[in-house]
Amino acid sequence: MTEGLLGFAAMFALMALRVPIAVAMGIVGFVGLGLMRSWPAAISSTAGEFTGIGSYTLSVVPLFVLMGNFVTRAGMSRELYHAAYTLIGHKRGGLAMSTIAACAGFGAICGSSIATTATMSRVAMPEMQRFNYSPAFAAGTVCAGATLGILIPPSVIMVIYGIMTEQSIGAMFAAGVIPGLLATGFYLLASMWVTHRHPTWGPPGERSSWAERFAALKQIWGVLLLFALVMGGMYGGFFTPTEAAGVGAMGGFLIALARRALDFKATVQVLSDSARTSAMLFTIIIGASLFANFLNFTDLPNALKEIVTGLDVPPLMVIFMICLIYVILGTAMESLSMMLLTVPIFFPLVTALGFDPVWFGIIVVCVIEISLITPPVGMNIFVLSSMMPSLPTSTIWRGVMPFIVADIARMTVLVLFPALSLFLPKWLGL
Amino acid sequence: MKRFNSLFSGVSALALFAMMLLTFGDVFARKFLPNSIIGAVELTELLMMVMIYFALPLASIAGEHIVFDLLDRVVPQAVLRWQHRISHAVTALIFGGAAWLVWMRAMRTLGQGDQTSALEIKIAPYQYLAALMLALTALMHAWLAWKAVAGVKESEA
Repeated sequence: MTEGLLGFAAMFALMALRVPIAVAMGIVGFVGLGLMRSWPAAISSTAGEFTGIGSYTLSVVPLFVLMGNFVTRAGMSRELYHAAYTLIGHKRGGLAMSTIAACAGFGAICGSSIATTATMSRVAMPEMQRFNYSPAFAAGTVCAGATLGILIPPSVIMVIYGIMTEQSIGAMFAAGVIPGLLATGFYLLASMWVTHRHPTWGPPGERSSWAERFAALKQIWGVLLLFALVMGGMYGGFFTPTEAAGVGAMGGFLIALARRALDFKATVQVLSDSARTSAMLFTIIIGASLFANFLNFTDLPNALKEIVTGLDVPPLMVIFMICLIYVILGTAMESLSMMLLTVPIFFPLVTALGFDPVWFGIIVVCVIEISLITPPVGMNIFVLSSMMPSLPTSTIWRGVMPFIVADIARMTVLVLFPALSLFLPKWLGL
Repeated sequence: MKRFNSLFSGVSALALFAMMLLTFGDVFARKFLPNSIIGAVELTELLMMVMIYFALPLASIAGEHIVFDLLDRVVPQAVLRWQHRISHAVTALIFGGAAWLVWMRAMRTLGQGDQTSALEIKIAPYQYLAALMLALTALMHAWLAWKAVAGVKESEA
């Protein structure tokens, strides 16, 4: 117990010095393992982690990152937004609802919230400004809508959770579908509520004719095809998640090519951006697994389990406590490192209490979504404010509040009704 | 520096592109042609090493590793500069240590003559590559630490 806590203290000290989180986790894991077990073991497992990157299963990470970057480059977010706009844009707050719907659609082919925020802010923000939307409301819609990218499969965060906890990536993706739709619904309700309270914040757009609607829907065939190919192929038993990622990346590449969004230079740019992001992700994965290895040798996870079971509180209460801890941590921590740091501690506890590991993964993804938009540290807020420098951060903070409420409501529903997450993977026999 | 950057981005981009084509080609060949690509899995594994380790120094130099920077705005400039110096120096040491560990592993792999099963490609060179790139990443952080000492404003800040 003491060793584990000391490990955490050392890691936080290094983090406070501005040492990269991955490096801090890695060195504490290495030294901890060396002291608690043996130095040869620490050396061997560390070298193993670094050379273990050459793994076929892990190639799913860069390939899904690449697919997301290609479709972002292809600029399909514009068509998605336009299609949603022709359908619901004429309603009060219609542009905000279109933004959320377009984010959900984009999330279905891109597994990154950062990419979704960046591309949707370029597409949706100018439109909402044109119709005199409240800047706070518009910004909140984009930031919150973009979090859907990591819940609606495919999702890079889910892949990393699956790798860490040895859960099937296919099952994780299937489990994300219904919660993803539910989240979209809750966000739509939140934006309806905002425009109900403040009708001037979200004036209606122009009504489109059915001919325009059909024309707009015809434009998004690429998105639908890619999603159908990746998910259909995976659940139709045609290919594994890794293969789905490869096929998806290829599909994204071809669509971007067909739309003339790629020349040689842009292709190299997309590829090398994806490679750098993957290198960064793998550094964190290596650091986190060394740290998790060390934690397993301390009795911290066990001690925590005993303390919690000794408390004699209902298991559901424990889950709510964990969610609360996540929400609080998420206000100040970067999302991915928060997940990698906490899952080794919470995962054994949650599974020991008899909860489903896949379901817990969905809950973790939901709390990560919340952490992306909770101030002061929320990645989506940072991305949006870097895209729109004229927009004060405090305005964005104000705008995301109704959506944080919607997030908490949705998380409560998902905690209380695990079947919402688990029905689909069970039905598919995963 | 610019040359270095484009060479390394080029290699990692090419490796990732090859991985994509290989995975796609493998699926395609298995479904529509008599058999899959021989050794596709192990080629992917080696390409992963090339792609990740060529991109790692670039991610470091671009300041893409996630750091806890919540306090940056409230910390005085002088303290922040010290933080940069110390953190990059520590990071350089740790990557240097990792390079050494992987180098030792590569020597062992070379001694055992490990190779991939289908195409019989020697694995050791790829591990040496990883060690070298980790060492280069360490140098990058040492350079960033030196820049902070010299008072050059960091591009990542």
